[in-house]
Amino acid sequence: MIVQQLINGITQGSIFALLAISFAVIYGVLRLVNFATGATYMMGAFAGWLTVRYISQNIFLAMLAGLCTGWSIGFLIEKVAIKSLRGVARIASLICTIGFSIFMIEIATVIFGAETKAMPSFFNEKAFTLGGATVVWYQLFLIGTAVTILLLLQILIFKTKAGLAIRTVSLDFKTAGLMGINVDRTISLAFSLGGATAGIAGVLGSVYYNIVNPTMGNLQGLKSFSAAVFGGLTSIPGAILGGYLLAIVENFGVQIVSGGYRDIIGFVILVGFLLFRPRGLLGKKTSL
Amino acid sequence: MKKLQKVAITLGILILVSFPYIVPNPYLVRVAIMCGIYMVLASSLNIVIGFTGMFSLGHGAFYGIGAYTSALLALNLHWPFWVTFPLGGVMAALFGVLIGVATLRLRQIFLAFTTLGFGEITRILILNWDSLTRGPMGLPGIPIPTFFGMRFSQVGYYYFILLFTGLVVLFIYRLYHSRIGRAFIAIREDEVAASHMGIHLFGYKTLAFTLSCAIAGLVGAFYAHFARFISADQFGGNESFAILTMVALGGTGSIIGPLLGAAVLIIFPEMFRFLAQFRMVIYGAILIFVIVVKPGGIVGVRGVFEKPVQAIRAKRSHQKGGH
Amino acid sequence: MSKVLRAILLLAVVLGVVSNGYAAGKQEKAKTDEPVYIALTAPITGDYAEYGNNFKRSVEMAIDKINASGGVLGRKLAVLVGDSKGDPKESATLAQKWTSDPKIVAQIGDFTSTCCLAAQPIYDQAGMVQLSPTASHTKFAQGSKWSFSIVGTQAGEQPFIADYAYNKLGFRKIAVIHINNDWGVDTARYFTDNFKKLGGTITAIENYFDGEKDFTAILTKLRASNPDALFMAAMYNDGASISNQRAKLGWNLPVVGPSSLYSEQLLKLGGDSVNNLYTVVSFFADDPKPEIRAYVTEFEKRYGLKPNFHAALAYDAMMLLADAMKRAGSFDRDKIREALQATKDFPGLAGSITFTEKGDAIKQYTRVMVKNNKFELFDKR
Repeated sequence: MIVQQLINGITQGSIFALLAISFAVIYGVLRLVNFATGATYMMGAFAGWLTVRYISQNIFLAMLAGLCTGWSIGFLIEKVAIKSLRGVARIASLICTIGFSIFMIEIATVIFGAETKAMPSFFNEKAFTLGGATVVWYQLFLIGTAVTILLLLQILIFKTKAGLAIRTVSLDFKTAGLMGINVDRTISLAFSLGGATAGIAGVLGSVYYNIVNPTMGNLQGLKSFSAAVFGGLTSIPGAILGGYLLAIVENFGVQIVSGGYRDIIGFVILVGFLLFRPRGLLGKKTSL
Repeated sequence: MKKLQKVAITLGILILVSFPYIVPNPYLVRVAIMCGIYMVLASSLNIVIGFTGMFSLGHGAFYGIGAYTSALLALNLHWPFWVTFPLGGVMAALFGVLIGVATLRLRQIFLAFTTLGFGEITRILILNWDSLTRGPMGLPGIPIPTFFGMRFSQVGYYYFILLFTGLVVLFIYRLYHSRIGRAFIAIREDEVAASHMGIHLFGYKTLAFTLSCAIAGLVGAFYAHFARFISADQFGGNESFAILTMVALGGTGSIIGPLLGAAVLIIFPEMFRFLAQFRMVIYGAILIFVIVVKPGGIVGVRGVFEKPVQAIRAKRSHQKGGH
Repeated sequence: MSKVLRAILLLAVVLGVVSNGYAAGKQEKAKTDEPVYIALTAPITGDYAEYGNNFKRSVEMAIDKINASGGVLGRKLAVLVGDSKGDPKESATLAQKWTSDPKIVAQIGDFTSTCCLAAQPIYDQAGMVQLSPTASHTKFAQGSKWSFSIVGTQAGEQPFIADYAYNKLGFRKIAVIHINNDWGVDTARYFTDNFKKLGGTITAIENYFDGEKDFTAILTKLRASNPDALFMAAMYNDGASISNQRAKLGWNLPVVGPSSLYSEQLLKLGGDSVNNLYTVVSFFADDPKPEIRAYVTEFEKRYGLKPNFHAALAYDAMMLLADAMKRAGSFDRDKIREALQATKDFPGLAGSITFTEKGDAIKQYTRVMVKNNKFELFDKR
């Protein structure tokens, strides 16, 4: 049973981790919480659903669709709302992301209808049994994909020029500009990256849970935000760790306490960390 | 000019006072009461966000604490509204002090995250604490307040909230122009400078946050006795975001801004009911549009939000010129 | 002072505009060829939009049918739809809107019990029928003489399900999962009480909050209690998700649940995992009865989907209201209420309706099960 809860936690944690990265990438460069992340996750899921339904029953194609949709949404939000509001009090951008969230959820309801849609399963056969716990191939696929994406992002951020720009801007946006880094383009890239990870997470999550609907991202977004704070909002490895840990703690919390207190666990962690260790597990002290 | 002002003010007050008689339509009076409730909520949040420059994403929780306190005292102990109403405010203020003391020493953004988490924790605790709050079943049958033995009619509620809104706005107006208010604004503009001027940052921040929570708690108590049925889902994160949106849309930092924002966001959705499922799509679009066009809100204070933009733009063009 | 001045002026202008609109609306004179208006309060947007849109579809269909056969007492009916977003405040505001409009004679809705309860004091004070198709909160119908619910309370449904599980299916140990809202708490409570009364054992109870998508942790915990069957107090969407995840965990056991699970959506979303699920219905879309066939065919033709339990209830609500108006012989709000209270054996699609003194409907239930990805009658086997 303990093994089963651990596997449940790690699978769920993969989705949290991807969304937490989405928060962390954007928060890192702009010190802005993107409240449209949950809605982007949902839009990614719908893109995947459309692909599977009308084009081809191929999960890789669906993930590509999710990635592109998320990328475009991130890009669009930045172009429409964030760019013109940079330097203005943060509340304006924050409200804008809330506006985008409402807009996307409601437009999805109008276009696709409010009914929950079925997302087909992929790789749903049993892979192996471990200590009485069943693991299906898709869980391994999900964890593997999440880890691959996380590694790719790490490489992008630490080994490429664009990544260097992101890191520099997140240290100090004004100085970075003076050093000849194109701040505008870097912020736009961060937003698109954040959107893309959220979009892929949407496809992966909807296949795991087999459902797609307009409000699927609301709770998911809020919880992964706690995960991101848990791990350190400015640190990508921190966000990943936060995502996995939050999900595992939640699953064991259900096991030990009760399902009714499940959501509280995440938020108690959130508040607790803010009070006693505001930079999170792996966050850097100076960068806050 | 002075005379004209006086005439206009008298006329405006006259219209507001006689509104339930000019328009004896219970629906419109109800919309006016809801406007009043949200004007107070938005104005109180504005003390934190607009005046002091701190962030709170959990205002709905303090509103809910006031509502639940007053409702539970009235239902279980049968205390009259005039006693439970202030206690709703006191309870919300207590929680405000607690949260404030714990987080206000940290950087500003942490208040936002903590209040967000606190809001969710409050909602879930209300849902799980069955023996006290009846959990998800909510609290029905909250008594109607009485005034010298007479039960409030809808018009009674209207006058109560009109008077209360008036007092809150007056209070905030006086606060804004007092020594305390100037200290708040000094903190918003530049914390370091303010503290060098001898302003006790932590004390003033806690004061601002507590005041804001107390007012939210009071209006929560009123709401409980007005709606006569409350449940945890009425005070969740959506509520906090809605209030925040009213402040930002109307104009952060100004006194009329939040009033206007609340009125617009309560009245417009009512007027656009005929749009059916497109109503909320347009709501989102308008929100984005207004903020992009006027980042400080419809009547935002110029000095607060527009100056930095120009400064940054100037800097940016300077950068471009430099390369 | 000019700021205060501006504020007051602004408010006055806003109120002026609003009252102007009101005055304009009042000038319309009621004509005899004007239809009789019924209000429908339903969540058209937001988390419960799916259910609210089904309400709208069914009520509009019912009204078209009534009007095609000459209307009620020689007048056509029309519906005004209000979107409550599933928000109790909006529901209450709409209640005030409907009750203060003299054209409207009665109201159908809302979907959730919390919305209905929030609006109840207003209907009660103004004196307008509040007929909810789905509110099953035990405090709802008894809270006011103007409130009625036709879904039947859990106090009526759960003894029947407990008997089904214990006597017909022979389960002795059951684990319970329920949604933590007013409806889920009630459903789980009445089921466990009745099941224990019969001599059964409840091995574990767990709940989840609205919006939760991951049930694996709860299911793993319940599995450890080693029950014969799982009782699932959930709506069909969550029910399908729970079943899917249960299958992924490799936990195969029979499932029992309330009538809210009955929907084509459950089969569509749940696939093979919902086989071996037992529930009861008072509306069965594959029923050969001609009136049900006619309703289902028409609904499918219009909207391209099969009606579920909630849709049928909304249809019944509208038909029942029209019937009450006919019996009252008047469109007077008070007379409609009296006629509605006196309803006896009204032949609804979701079973015949008779109101208790408090305004709850007593329903009859049929046992069904999911077999080969289809709902089938249990007793026909």
